[in-house]
Amino acid sequence: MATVVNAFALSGVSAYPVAVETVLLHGQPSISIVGLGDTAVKEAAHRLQAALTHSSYDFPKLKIVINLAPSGVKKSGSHFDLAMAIGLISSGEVLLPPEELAQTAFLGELSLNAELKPVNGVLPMAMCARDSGIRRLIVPVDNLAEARLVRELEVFGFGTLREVVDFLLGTLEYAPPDRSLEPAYSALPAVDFADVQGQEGLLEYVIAAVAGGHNFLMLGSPGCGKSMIAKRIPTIMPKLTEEEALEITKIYSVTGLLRQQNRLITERPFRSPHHNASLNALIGGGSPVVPGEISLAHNGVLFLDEIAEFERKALDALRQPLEDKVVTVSRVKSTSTFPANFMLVAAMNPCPCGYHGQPKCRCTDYEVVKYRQKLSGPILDRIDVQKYVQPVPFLSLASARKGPSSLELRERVQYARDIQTKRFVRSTEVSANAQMTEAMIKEFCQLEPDALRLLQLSFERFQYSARTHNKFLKIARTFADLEGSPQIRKKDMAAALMARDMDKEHTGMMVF
Amino acid sequence: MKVYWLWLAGLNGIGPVTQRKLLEALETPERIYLASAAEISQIAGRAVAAILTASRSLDSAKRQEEALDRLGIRLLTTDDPLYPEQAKCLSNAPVILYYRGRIRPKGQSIGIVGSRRCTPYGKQVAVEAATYLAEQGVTVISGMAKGIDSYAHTACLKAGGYTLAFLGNGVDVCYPAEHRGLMEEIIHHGAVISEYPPYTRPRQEYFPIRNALISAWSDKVLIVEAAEKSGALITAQKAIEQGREVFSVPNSIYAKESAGTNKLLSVGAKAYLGPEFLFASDPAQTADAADCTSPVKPRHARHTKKPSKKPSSIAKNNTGLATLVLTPLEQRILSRLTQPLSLSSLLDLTDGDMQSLLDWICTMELEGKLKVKGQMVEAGSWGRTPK
Ligand SMILES: [Zn+2]
Repeated sequence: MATVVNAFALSGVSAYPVAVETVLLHGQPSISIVGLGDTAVKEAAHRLQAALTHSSYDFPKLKIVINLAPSGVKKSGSHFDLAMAIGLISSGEVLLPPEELAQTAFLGELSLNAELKPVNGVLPMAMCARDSGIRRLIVPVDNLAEARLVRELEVFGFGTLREVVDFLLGTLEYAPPDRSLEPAYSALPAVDFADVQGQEGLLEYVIAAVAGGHNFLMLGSPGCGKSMIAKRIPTIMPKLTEEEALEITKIYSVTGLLRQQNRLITERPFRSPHHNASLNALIGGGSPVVPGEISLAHNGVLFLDEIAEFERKALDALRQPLEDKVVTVSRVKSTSTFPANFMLVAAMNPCPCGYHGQPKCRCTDYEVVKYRQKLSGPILDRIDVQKYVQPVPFLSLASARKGPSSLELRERVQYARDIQTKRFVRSTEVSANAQMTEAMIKEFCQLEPDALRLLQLSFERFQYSARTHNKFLKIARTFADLEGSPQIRKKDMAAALMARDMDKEHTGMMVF
Repeated sequence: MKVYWLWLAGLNGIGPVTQRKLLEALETPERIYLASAAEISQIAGRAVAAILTASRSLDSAKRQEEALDRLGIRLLTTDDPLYPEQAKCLSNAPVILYYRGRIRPKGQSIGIVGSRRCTPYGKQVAVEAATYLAEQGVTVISGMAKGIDSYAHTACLKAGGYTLAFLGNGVDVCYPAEHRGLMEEIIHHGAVISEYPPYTRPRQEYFPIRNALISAWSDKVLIVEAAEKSGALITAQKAIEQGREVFSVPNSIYAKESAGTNKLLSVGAKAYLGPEFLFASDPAQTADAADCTSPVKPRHARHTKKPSKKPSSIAKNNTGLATLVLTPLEQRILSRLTQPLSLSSLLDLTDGDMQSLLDWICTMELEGKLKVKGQMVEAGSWGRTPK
């Protein structure tokens, strides 16, 4: 009869239960691992043999078959090692009574010396353990803190296979490791908008962008403070809910980025990939498939500095996630879906030399327009707010009053978000003004007469496109929400009309 | 017959001066082709006669004619009434010009030229002048180079005007390549003209002649920005030689972009202080100076053409209104704008209320009272009093 040991496999950022079934059959001594494992799974055979021998357990001289059930689904990773080792040893001697074994799950990679190595994705696997009625979880000691984020489980961490076996046999008393086992929660963010001075004009648009879920593009010369502002945007986004925090932490867990921290991520992430980053690194991919930057920015900010320098195909790949808030990475035999609900914040020089609008720029209008066209239409189309950032002269910095703190700004954002939550309560797809459909714009963007007049005047003057029209309405809706006004007033429209510097400038470009 | 003109213009070793001497004596290229060596010798000397006798083949000219038809290129010959009299005063005026587009009977024409790497100030001046001229029905002439030239053409066309571009290469060649779109527009609503046959690539030495054509076809020339040594200065020099009225745009004495234009002012060019200044002097006098060969009457009639109604003139239309209805806060805002200021530095005017400031600024911009460029606010051009 087969011995069954509980383990888990990852799919996207979630885990599902896997039964590791081991049978010993008479025949030529051999070991085969079935159940659609990848190379890392299959190579477990060698690690098992070495680790068992090293720990002076007999490696059965029989035909060994290990099946990972459900066997029709592809599995990857080296974290099945421990469960397989326990299965093999259990075939020879009883480690646990069957009913206890059924309530215990194992995960960890074995070294050739039978040490337990930490693995990725412990958090989703622990969550899966809890949800499937497992009581005890055995993990490598280095994954202990992460596993303990799931409070309803008894979690034990060990350094070697020998310790695990001895613990199961009751010959070793469990001694939690010295270091603090309480999952650490993050400290206060290190940056604050109070550090940004003399940018009141821009700040209004940062707040509006965050409040209405609008993506945001900053134009400005090198060193004008674009990155400084971008880094602070997560600090004014609404506080993370516990569910959102878990979502983020799971993504970092399966990517293997959690081990240094071993804590629940409670700040909104800020990711700033370089424009040389590969498509896999940006969008997700590789083998095994891991989430990319856009998923690591989930529930936070994806900052693309020098967005015009990114390859076109990288920017094009952002379109679908920007729309769907998830990314689907397809490989030959598998498809993984990762969350990717991020706010896109981008920055670029306004022209090839970087100083357009300042006296020293000598770029021709054609060169400026061509440079900006590197940003493909579909991406530009998903960015509602595009503002110039003006460098603040050193002298006025000294005299400028301290900017409002992130905490104050976050309150304004939260206020506008609460209004939107009520507004879109019936919709499953839309949660913020930026995502409004055509019909919703008609329903929710009621203009007061002088607001409408201003909008018309502006279209006559700057010859905006029809698509821009809806953008102005959405942004105006957000400005009205920031002050709790049910109607869009003239001042809301005015502020919105000044939210698209690049479009406005385009009217004055002397090119055909 | 086109083919004889092409034959005449294509003669190796015979320049435009001799070509015109022959044309004056024999009237048509065909007669020149048919004339005896003795006749030619009598008119232009024995060397010329020898060349002509050796070049009796029309093959090359015929091939060229086919190419012109294929490329949609037309020929403007000196016997064509569309060839402006005043352009013939150039001693080496080409006997044929190649063009694409439509050449209208000569109306009042003003050349606008300047540097390729111009400043935002230069661009503003060129755009404002060309827009104004287009609205007045005046032809804008330039050289389709980067910078000032392209802004003059583009602004003129965007205001519904008529423009001519003189090239230093064949009219089938787009140089610089970035002006492909512009060239198409000029061909649709004006013409690109060159003395160089099709397929001719641009060369450094072709541009001075191109510059001379710009001034020859213009009644007046406006130099917007020119460094110490620049093509725009050559155009100015030619314009002075041809007796054209030359306007130059003043600028900082420290800016190297305007070293040439400021120098022109110091040697007697007229200071350009706004588009109206182009017409400030006595038009009759100007036309006399321009017309060096014939007593053809200047056509200032075009000058009175109604300006086209374009959105760009909103600011101007509102000028009167704007001065009448300035609120106290608007006055305070405008009085601060002696130089561009950031929104943040105006925030005290609304007691720190940014949304209210944005409301004022946006409305004032749409009424033409100021301009917003990103975070910066500057005074609009409505405040500048013409004349
Ligand atoms: Zn530049």
